[in-house]
Amino acid sequence: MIKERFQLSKEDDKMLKSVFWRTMTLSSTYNYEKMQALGYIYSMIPVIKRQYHTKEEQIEALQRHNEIFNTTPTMGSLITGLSASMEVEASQNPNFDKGSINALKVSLMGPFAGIGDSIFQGSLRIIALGIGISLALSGNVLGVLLHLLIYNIPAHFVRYYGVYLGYGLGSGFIKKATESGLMGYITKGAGIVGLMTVGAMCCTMVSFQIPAVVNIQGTELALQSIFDQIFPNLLPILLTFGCFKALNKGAKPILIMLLFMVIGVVGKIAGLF
Amino acid sequence: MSVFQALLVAVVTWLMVGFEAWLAYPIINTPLVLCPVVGLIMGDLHTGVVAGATLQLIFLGVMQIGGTLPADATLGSVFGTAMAIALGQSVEVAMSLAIPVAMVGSMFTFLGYVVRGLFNPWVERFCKEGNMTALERLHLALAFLPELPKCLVLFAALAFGSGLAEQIVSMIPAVVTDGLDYATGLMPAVGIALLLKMMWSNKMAVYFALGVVLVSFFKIPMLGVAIVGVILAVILIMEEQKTKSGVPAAVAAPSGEEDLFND
Repeated sequence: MIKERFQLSKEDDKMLKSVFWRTMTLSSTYNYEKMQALGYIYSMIPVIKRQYHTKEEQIEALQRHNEIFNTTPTMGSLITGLSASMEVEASQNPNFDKGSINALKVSLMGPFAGIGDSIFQGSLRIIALGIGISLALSGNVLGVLLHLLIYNIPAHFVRYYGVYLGYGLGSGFIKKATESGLMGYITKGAGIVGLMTVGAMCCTMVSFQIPAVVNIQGTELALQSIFDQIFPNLLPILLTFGCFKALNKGAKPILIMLLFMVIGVVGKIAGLF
Repeated sequence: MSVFQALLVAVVTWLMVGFEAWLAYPIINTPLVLCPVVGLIMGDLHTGVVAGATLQLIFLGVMQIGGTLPADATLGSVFGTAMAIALGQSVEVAMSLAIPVAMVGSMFTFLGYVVRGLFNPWVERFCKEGNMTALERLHLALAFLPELPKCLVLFAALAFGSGLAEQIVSMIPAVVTDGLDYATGLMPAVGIALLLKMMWSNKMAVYFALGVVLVSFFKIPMLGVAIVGVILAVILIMEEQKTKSGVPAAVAAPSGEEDLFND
């Protein structure tokens, strides 16, 4: 489908498949100084090998891509695909401004990391985890598989077709995508599903009971049942919002977790729970 | 646990951590995926699956989100789960072993980034020489080798540390394990709060409430909540498009990535 639309030759297709596989590894040699630069060079090697035939041109291209780069690997293939199309053009047109290849890379990596993180890390991963954990807690292996499939099928779609989209549509496509509002819609939709899942997780996965009993004029009343009658899962929701407030005030997550462990143990010793 | 099992656990952990980065983050280095694999190696899949889900919930709060340095949930979970199964202990024991190991393990993550950075002059030199084969080999080596020390430590701890771990576990009084069991119910609140912090905006709060109500009053399972969410999102976006463009939205409904770019 997509290959016919862009009328790619067999050789183009072969090169782009290789770029796709290599872009997957983008973040595997991440470091603090150049971040994903080596991964980017690795992704561009098939293009450089095919388009440049003199040693000098190859060295120039390799050095061009040895620059700081950092984005979400899932979205990275859109950018490597785009770079590939620009390298092809640069190799055929001597007047092509080669500086624009890096300029475009740098201008896209930030927005793409933002979109990718909010869709894949922020929403899709949470949805996959929520469904996976809820099944796996009862020992169901299906939860593990479902978790992998829910995340990886859409992510793989973007990883794979990203290269072709970036290559075929060229630099104009980002403009198109933002103008059509597509990115905004996807981010918003993912946010809706993500927040609903988090709300559901808050009710099913934070679970504790208060066994305290109050004595009102001779009638014994279990506190827990009162809370349950007012609003089921009220306590887990309050606890989660308490943590949310504490985190917003700058509390360290690991300290809150240690505090909970202390509360659990002290509560057991005091016979509260 | 036998030395062979310890070796197998360490090698599998090494490969899965390596391939996580090599295959564009398919989320295979999470406790939810790793612990069942450890369970399979140790001969107790069920405990592996349950421990994975429990530890995933606890570590939800410290997992890597957008480039921050995490406590190494991977190392801790694998060690805790393998030990708990080997000693015939419960999921709470897996947790109490996993957390301290995870905090030590985060040093290795930092170390990996630093070690990879040391090779930047090599990258520069190979670029200057136009030596693409060397660049490819360096990329492969730097992807997998810096993860190796962590897994060697894991192997040593699993193979030779079970005596010490057993001693520590037997020293923990029952009231502490019970208390930790209670705490496993509280701790997911931290992770969920961290997720909320990342996603929260007052405009979107109503969707959080919808998720809460669907579960609390209608007892809809998680998959159902997600499906309702997707349907709701599609409806809302279609309505928004209709009001924006004034044409029936059905024509422009999101049906596939490449169609949408095609105006």
